[in-house]
Parts: sequence; C-alpha cells; structure tokens
Amino acid sequence: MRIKSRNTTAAALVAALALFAGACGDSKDSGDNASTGTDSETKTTAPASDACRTLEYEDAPEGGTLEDYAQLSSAGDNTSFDPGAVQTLDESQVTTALFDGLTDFDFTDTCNPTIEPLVAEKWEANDDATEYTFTIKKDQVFSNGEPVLPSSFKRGWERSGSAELASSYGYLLAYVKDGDKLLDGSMTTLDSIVADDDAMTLKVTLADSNADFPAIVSFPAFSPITKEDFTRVGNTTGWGTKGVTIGNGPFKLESAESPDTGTVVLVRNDTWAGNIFGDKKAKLDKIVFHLTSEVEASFQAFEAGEGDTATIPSGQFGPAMEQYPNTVDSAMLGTYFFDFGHDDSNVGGEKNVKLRAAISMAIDRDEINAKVYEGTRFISTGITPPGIPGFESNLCKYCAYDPTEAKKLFKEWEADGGKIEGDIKISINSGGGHEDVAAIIQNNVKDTLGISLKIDAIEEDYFKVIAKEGACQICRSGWYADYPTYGNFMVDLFGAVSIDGNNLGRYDDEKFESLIADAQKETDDTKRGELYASAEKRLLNETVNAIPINWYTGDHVYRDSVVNYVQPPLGIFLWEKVGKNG
Amino acid sequence: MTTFIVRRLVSLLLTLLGGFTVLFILFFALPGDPAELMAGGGNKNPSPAVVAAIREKFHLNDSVAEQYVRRLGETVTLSGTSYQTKEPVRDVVAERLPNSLRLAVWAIAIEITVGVGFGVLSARRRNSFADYASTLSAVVMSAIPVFVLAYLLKQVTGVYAFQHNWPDALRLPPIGIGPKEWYLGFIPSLEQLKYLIQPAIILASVSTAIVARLTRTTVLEASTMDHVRTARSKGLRDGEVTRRHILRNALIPVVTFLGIDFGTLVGFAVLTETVFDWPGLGSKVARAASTGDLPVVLALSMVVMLVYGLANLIVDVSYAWLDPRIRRNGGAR
Amino acid sequence: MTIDSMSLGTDLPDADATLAQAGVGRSLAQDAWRRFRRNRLAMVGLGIVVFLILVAVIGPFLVQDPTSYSKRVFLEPPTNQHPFGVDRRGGDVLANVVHGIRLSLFIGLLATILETVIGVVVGAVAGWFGRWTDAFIMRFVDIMLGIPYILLAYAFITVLGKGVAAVVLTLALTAWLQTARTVRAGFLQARELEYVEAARALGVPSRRIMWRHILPNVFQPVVVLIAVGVGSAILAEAALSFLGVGVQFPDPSLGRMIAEFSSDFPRAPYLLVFPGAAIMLSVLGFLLVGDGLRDALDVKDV
Repeated sequence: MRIKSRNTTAAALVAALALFAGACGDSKDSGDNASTGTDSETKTTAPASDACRTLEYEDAPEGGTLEDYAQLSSAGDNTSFDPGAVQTLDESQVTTALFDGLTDFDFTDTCNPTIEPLVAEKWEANDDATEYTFTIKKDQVFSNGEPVLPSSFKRGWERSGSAELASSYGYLLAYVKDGDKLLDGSMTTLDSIVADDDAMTLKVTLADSNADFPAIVSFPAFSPITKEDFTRVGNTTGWGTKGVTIGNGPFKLESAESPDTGTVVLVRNDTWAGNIFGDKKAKLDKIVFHLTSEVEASFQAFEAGEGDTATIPSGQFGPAMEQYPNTVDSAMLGTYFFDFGHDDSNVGGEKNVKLRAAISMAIDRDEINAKVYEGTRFISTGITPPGIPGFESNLCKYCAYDPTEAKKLFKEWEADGGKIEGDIKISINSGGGHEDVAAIIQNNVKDTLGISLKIDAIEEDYFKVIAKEGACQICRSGWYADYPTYGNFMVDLFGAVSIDGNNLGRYDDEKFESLIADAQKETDDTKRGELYASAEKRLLNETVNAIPINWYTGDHVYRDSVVNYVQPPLGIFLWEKVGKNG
Repeated sequence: MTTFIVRRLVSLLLTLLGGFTVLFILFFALPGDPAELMAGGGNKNPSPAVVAAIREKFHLNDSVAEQYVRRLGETVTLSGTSYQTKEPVRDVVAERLPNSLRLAVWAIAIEITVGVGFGVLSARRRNSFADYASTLSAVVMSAIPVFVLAYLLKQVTGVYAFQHNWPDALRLPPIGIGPKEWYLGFIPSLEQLKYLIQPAIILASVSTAIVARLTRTTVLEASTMDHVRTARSKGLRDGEVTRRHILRNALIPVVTFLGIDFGTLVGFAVLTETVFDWPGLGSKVARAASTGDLPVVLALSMVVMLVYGLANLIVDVSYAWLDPRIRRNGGAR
Repeated sequence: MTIDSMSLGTDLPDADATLAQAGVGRSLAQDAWRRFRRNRLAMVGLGIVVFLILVAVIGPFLVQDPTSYSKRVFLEPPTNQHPFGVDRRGGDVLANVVHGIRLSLFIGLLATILETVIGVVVGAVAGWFGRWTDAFIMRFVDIMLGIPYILLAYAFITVLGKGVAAVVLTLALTAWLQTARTVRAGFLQARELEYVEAARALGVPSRRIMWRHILPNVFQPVVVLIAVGVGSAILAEAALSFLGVGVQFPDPSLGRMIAEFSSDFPRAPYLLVFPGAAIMLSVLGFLLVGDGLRDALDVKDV
C-alpha cells in the first residue's frame, strides 16, 4: 500500500509495548541508538534479526476516548476510507477499525506471521490453487443488524473491482477469473464467485493458480458490505457517508466531517464478532481521528498538550523520542527504494547494467539514514524486508556503499562504450524528506562517479505522473505490504501486470516474469519463498533495476496514558486492543 | 442612493460573470484531464474505458460552449460536485464560508482597534517614542512572513506554555477550529476564543500595520485642514477635535482599506488557514486549484468575489455616512 | 505583503485620481534626491538594498558550493568554518542564504520589471484612447482584481509549470493590475493638461505625445510602485515557495529554506534566523526605499 508523501517515515503507527525480541522492556532506552545530534554517529546496518520482535499486549482498561492526531495528518490527500476505494495506509487505519475480512494475520512473532480465519470459519483449496471455498461463520452481523453472508462478500468484491468505482486496488480482483472484465466494465457480476447463503460458502475460481489468495483476501478491498450501503451508494464512493461505511469490525462510524478538516469519530460496535485473539469487545468507547493539514502542525499540537497520539515530522525524531513513548523501534514491512526506468535510453536496458550497479554502489545509505531519518531506519539489503516469509538476508549484491567498486564498474561501463546523453533525472514526490534523500544521492553520485543527476520534485499526483511511459529515469518509490507475502513486493511492484501502476520503472523482464509466475503457482510455502527470492535476485543482481535504500520503522509518539499502542508490521493497528488509562 | 446601489450591484454581477469566464478559460486550458482526476485510482492509471465512461457521464466531450453554460448553471445554483472528493459544492461553501467570515470579522476588529488606535496615537504624539515604535513595528510586521510569525507564536503559546505548566487559561491550542460555539453567529464562547485568537491576530498582523501607518498619515493631514484649525481656535478640547473633526475625515481612506481588506481576508487567508488548520475558503480554493478541481474552484471563487464586491459596495455606501458632502451620483470608477 | 493581504492592500480610494503633479522640472531628480537623502529611514533602506545587491553579485564567489554536502557534519550551529551553521543535509547555510538572496532579488526585480512594462503599456493604452477601450480594459482589470490572488497564482503556475520562470511570470501576471490603474489615471489627468491639448491641436502624433509629454508625468508613482513591488514580489515568492508551488528544490529559495528549517526548529532553532532575517531585510530595504521615494517625489496614495 502506498503511503502519503508527507514525511520521512511515511505512515506507521504504534508500538509502545512492542519490544525487540530479547531487548529490555524500556522502549525509550533503545531510542539512544538513534543519532540525534550534530555529529554523525550513524547506526550501522542492522542485522535482519533486529527487525523481528514479539508483539505484546497488556490487559487494557475499558472505556475512554482516544484523541488521535497521528493517522490522518495530511488530510489534503484524503479521498475515502470506503473498503472498496481506500488508497493510503492512513485511511485504511479507519477502514480496518470498521471492517473485518475473511482472514487475518497473527503477527505476535513478527517474522513468522500466521494466517488465521476471521469471518471465515475455514477454507479449502483445490490442488493447483485455482479454486477456493471459504466457509463463513454463522450468526455474524453488521453494525446495522444485517447478517454477514457469503453474498455480502460477493457484493463487496464485485463492487471493489467495478469499472465505475475505479479503485486503486481494483486490480486485485484480476486474480479472480474474469476479474479483468469487471475492471474494464464489460461485466458487472462474476460467475466465478459463487455465494451460497444457505450453505454459508463462498466459492471462488481464480484466473490462475495463486497459493497466496487467502492472504490476499485479508485486504480491505475484499471486505463484506451491506445491502443498505450498496443500495445507497452503489458503485460510487467518496469521503465518509458518501461511500460504504457500515461494517462488521470492532468499531462503527459515528460521524465524519469533510475529507480535509474536522474529525472522523468511531464508537464501539457492540455487535462485533471478535478477532483472532479471542477479544470480543473493543476497549475504547470512542476514537476521534483529527484531520490536520500537515504532520508538522499536528505534532506541534501534540507537543502543546492536544490529543493522545501524533506522527513525528521529519527532523524531529531525536527530541520526540527523548520525551514521549514512541513506536520508532518497530520494524515495518515497508520498503523505500528507487526504480530505474527499464526502457530509458540513458539508464535502462542491458547495456547499462554496470552503470546502474555503479550508481547503486555510489549511494551511502548510512549517510541518508543518519541525516534524513536520524538513524531510525534499517538499511536495506534487498527490496523485500525481513519478516516476509522467504526473506533472505544480504540478498542484494550492489547495495553496499563502495566507492571504489562503483568507480570500477563505471569505468568498465565507459570502456564498453557507455556514455550519458543529456540529464539523468532523479524524480521524487515533494515533501517528506524525499528532497533530502535525492540531494544526498545526487551529491554521492557526483562525488563518486562525476555524474550530475537532476532532481525533479513532483508536487501533485506523483505516482500517477511517474507511472506513465517514459516518465521514470531514476524515481522514488515506497511500499507498505498489504499482506505479508513475498508476492506483494515482487508482483505488485515489479510484475508486468503492475505497469501503469506501482511498477514505476515499467520493469518487464522475461526471466523475472517466469520466476514470479512459477512462484504464484507453487503451493509449498518454502519453495514459493525460494522462487520469489530468485526473482528478486534477477531484479537486483542481474538486471539491476532497483536501488533499495531502507526499510521503514514506526514514527508515532503517544501519551503515557495510552495502552497497547502497538504497531504490527503492516502498520495497521489492532484498534480493539488500544486502551486508555485515567 | 438607490440608483447608485442598483447600478453597483449590476456592475458587480458583470464582474462576477467576467471572473467566472476568466477562471473557466484559465482552468480549461490547464494540463490534466478532469476525467482522470475523477476516475481517482490514486497511484494507478485508470483504464481508458473508465475514463471514457466518466467523460461521457460528466459531459466532458461536449463543446466548450456547452460546458461553459452547464458549469455556469451549476456554479450559480451551487449544485456542482467536487471532482476529487465528490462532496457537493454546496456543503463545502456551507461549511467553510462561515469559518472564513468569522475569522475575517475578528481580524478586522483587531485591525480597527489596534491599527487605528496606534495610528491616532502616533499622529498625536508625533516623533515621540511611541510614534517611532509603532512605525518601526509596522514596517517590520509587513516584512516578516506570516508563516514564521505564526510558527513562533504557536511555539510559545502552545508548546512552551504546555511544557512549562502554564495555567490552562494562558495556553492556546496550536491548531483547529475549536468547539464551534458561537453566539449570534460571530461571538465566540470563551473556549472558542482560544482557537480563534491566534489565527485572527496572525491574519490581522500585516493589515494592522498598514492601517496604523495609513491612519497616522491621514490624521496628520486632516489635522492641518481649515475646519480643524477653526475648531481648535474656538477652544475645543483636543480629544473632542480629534473625535469630531479629524477622525471623521481621516477615516475615509482607512474604511476603504478595511472594506477591501475584508474581501481579501475572506478569500486569501491561505497561509493563516494552513498553519492553524482553520478550515476556511482560502485553503480549500488553493487545494482545489492545485488539483484542478474545477467545480470547487469556480464556486468558491465566485463566493469570494461576491463577498469582496459586497464589502466594497458597503464601503462606498458608508462614505455618505462618514462624509455627508460626498453625494455619489454614479460609479466613480 | 504576503498572500494573506497581497496587492489589493494598496488599492486606496482615490488611487485613480492620484497623479503625479504636472510639470517635471529638470531639477526634479536633484530635488528628490536631496529630500530622499534627508530621510534617515530611506537612507537605511537604500543601504540595505545596496548591501543585498552586493551580496547577490559578489557573494556567490565567496561562499562554498551550496549543493556540496559534508558527509559527517550536519545540523551544526555556527562555527568559523560555517558562520551560519550547517543544514540537515550537510550543506553550508551561509552559501544557501547567499544564493537564496541572489535568486530572490533576481525574481523580485525581473517580475517587477515585467509587471511594470505590462502595467504601463496597458494603462497607457486605456488612458490614451479612453472611451470603450478604457472601459473594456478597466473592467478587465477590475475583474482580475476581484479574483482571489492565490487562485490566479495557482492557475498560472499550473499552466506555466513550476520553477523560477513560472514564478517570475506568475508574479508579473498578477501584479501589473495596480500599475495599469495608476498609469491610466495619470493619463486621464494629463490628457486634460493644456500643453497636451495644445500639442494635440498642433497635430503632434499620439505616440510622440504619449512618450514625450505624458509618460514622464506618470513616471513618479510608477517608480514608487516599482520599489514597493520588488519587496512584495520577494515576499510573495517566499510564500509561494513555502506553500510548495514556488521555486522548486534544489534551487535555493529563502521561503523553502524557512519551511525546511521550521521543521528542524526543535533540534536547530538557530537555523531559522538566517533565511528569516534575509527575507525581512530584503523586504524592509525595498519598502523603506519605496517610502522614501514616495515622500521625495511627493506621490500620494500609491
């Protein structure tokens, strides 16, 4: 899932009591590793095991209102928290509090997430993973009293994929047979999704084998929706009650003001069926999400005593971590990287492999981490972060800062007839410290290779603009996992199916495609992981089409009175567990 | 007088139509396809079929003239819908116009009390310390960017105050619209005042400086006028002279400025609204303009232009009250 | 003035009726200079402006490269080596401020020159031809003045693209309205002057009359508008850049630096002082010079 452009660490939440596995209990202590001062004591590349932790929750008191300034703190970009249309991690914080899907992940051991049935009782797949039958628990209801039925899911899925809704995540429906016809508008309902409300089964035929499908349906686009909402809004959406809001989650919507100001208020949903951990009731009475125009403004408000949570703006980690409990130690399943334009004449193609490797090796990722992120992030050694099943540490061959080797590769490239014509653009979306990252890269590359990159900061609709043909030479990207699978990184970010979307560099490599196709079909978890890792090696070590920079960590502060503000690796809270003392 | 007002109203309508046309043309020429904006899709290029369907549905394939007429109708009746958020434009206006008006009214109140007050003081104690101080601070004020001023103010009244345990009454919330408790539409409750005061001060800061300087100049000029000298020579007390003879004359340009400034404050308060998260018209217009959200841009700017025009009209009418010698018999402009 | 109270603020009641006094004497410039020199504040302003121009012209040769970063040192308070400190990327703040001043002055001056040319031409055409030409042009000016400034700015920027050129054009295209009004008013008044009427009666070509007899008449208020205009343009540029639609990274802009340093404020409050002071000085300098010129040239209500 994309995160908003707003600040250094992107969206992220929580994790007060989330402890590093084996580390001591005081989360403030570990704040000391982060360089806060002027002298650049950089955090050395963290071993991948540091990214693993155990999520621990305590018994939170019941009742109370959480005043949140952390989630919707760049409100100008809000469009919808409708499960069919939700786009950003920020907005999906609200969505996940309102809706429960068929499956959910248990992240207690963050590096070994296990998938559990949530609204589903169980599911069965055929041998080649092309057909799934989900059996849905009986007697569950939405907050308006409507029963949660297989047809509620069918309704929601077909809406999410509908051409009219044109959801960012509608493409996920293409995994279902004929889903592409839903997307282009030639069909409005799918025979491949069979809902039997008497037998309480939902039978889905996929377009192709996909062993990760049960993980994929944990995503909000696959939420059930009510007849009431569907009759009211159909395949249209918007902020608040302009879209679908009646859900089966731990909270229900009380009110939502306009998308760029005011508040979104959720109250406990007493008809909620419970989560995979056995909780049956949300702790808080109420969550008030305050919409603010900028992270800086909401953090200043937090510092002035307003609210219970806030996002730390870029450049303020040091003082913030000293003063408040925070989630900065929480490793996230998120990755920050740059794409190379696959077909670009200056940097793309077979002939420029060594140039790309040289650029990647000229970048001092420690310097970026120290200067821009105050040492809070993990230097990445690949695109896919630790915690994803199948993760291999030190996968990337060209990701370590090595000016000597970079120069050598560059010379070889020049000897092979390589020559740069015109500018090479390094494109970023404005704000969020991305300018700083680009400027440091520009400086690194100039110092080491003598190439001048041109920084191109794009203010509006970056991801749309840069996804167009020919727009990306070296372009920034960032990604939060939608569900903890390797495929969510490889297919969604680099697969040919994601061209015009998240595959910003328009990477299209035959060998890579065949590796991910094999991986999708593979039903054995270990083998699937290995296949995906081979695909990533093809991407990073043979074709060198991306520059991994770092893996995200949390960026929230909260008051001492807030309990269980624990941020799981997908970034999205277990809102039902959060509580407040006093 | 009635003819004058009617004439001015007609002229205002023409101005609005002209403004609408200019903006329509400008934004129509903008790069970017509204259909793509409406298709949403965030980080995904919407499929051509979807974009085509939206073009059809929203009549974007019609001729420019047809679209102009349709857009004009929608704007006048406030019946359009935002391309981006799908909010009805009427809701946006209903929510934001009162916020903008309230902020502007209080900013103007500050400009009048502080600006005119200091202006008169400087004029009466010419070349005194107070005069220099107010002139200098006026000049400095108009040179400091308001966003710096606002940031520092919030850092003191909000963050420093909270962290040093100032009493609640002295602490001010850095952002937000507050509890929305208003009496008679414009009088804030005590709690509401805490949210209002800072943006109002910041919004007024630059104009207050201008008002002070303007008042000083005009008061000095007016005090050299014949009838003022006469009044003085007749032995009227200083305060009396200032109030009855000088201020009346001196205030005409000040009132004119305030009238124009009111329109400005309602529509242009982008920076203040942004730093204080005060949901007014200015920040919304700016946001809509930068994303090419035409229905919102047009409707909101027409509202702003209308407020601006009406404020000017009221100013012109109030001339007659301030200076009975002025009898307008036609638009002087 | 910032966007919060931009341009319209100078629209005083009888701005139209304002006019430079007739009869430009040869000694006018000397007279004005004498009066200007006696005005202490104005001389301070002039000093500031001259200083800033020196900084802009010579400064860049004396400071480090603003886009070259120290690898190890960042966010550091002022030292001998870095008198204004070091920013978060490891860049020298002095170098950035100097280049920022240069760019601000460049944008301010260029935008004002453009704006003046447009304003004088349009105003002169309206004022000279009168009748429907005048009515049409002035109606247009009224309409443009009625449109929220920020909206015009955003519209122009969206059409023109971002960056320095777009900012200059946007500032010019939104600021000429006041100049046009003033010039037109000057023309209306000058047209009625006897020697102009006489020249017309003698059959002197229009262009010549405009050029030789009337323009010098409107020269004085325009000079004042220019001085004030540069200050406003600098502040407007800073505001646009602060809002993210002005000068784009990595071009050094004082407004952008302020936005950046505000977020570094908790760690490095000293940084904010330098670009802040630079903007204030620039605006103050031109404002004081403008005020001084207004008094020296005896121009009211501009």
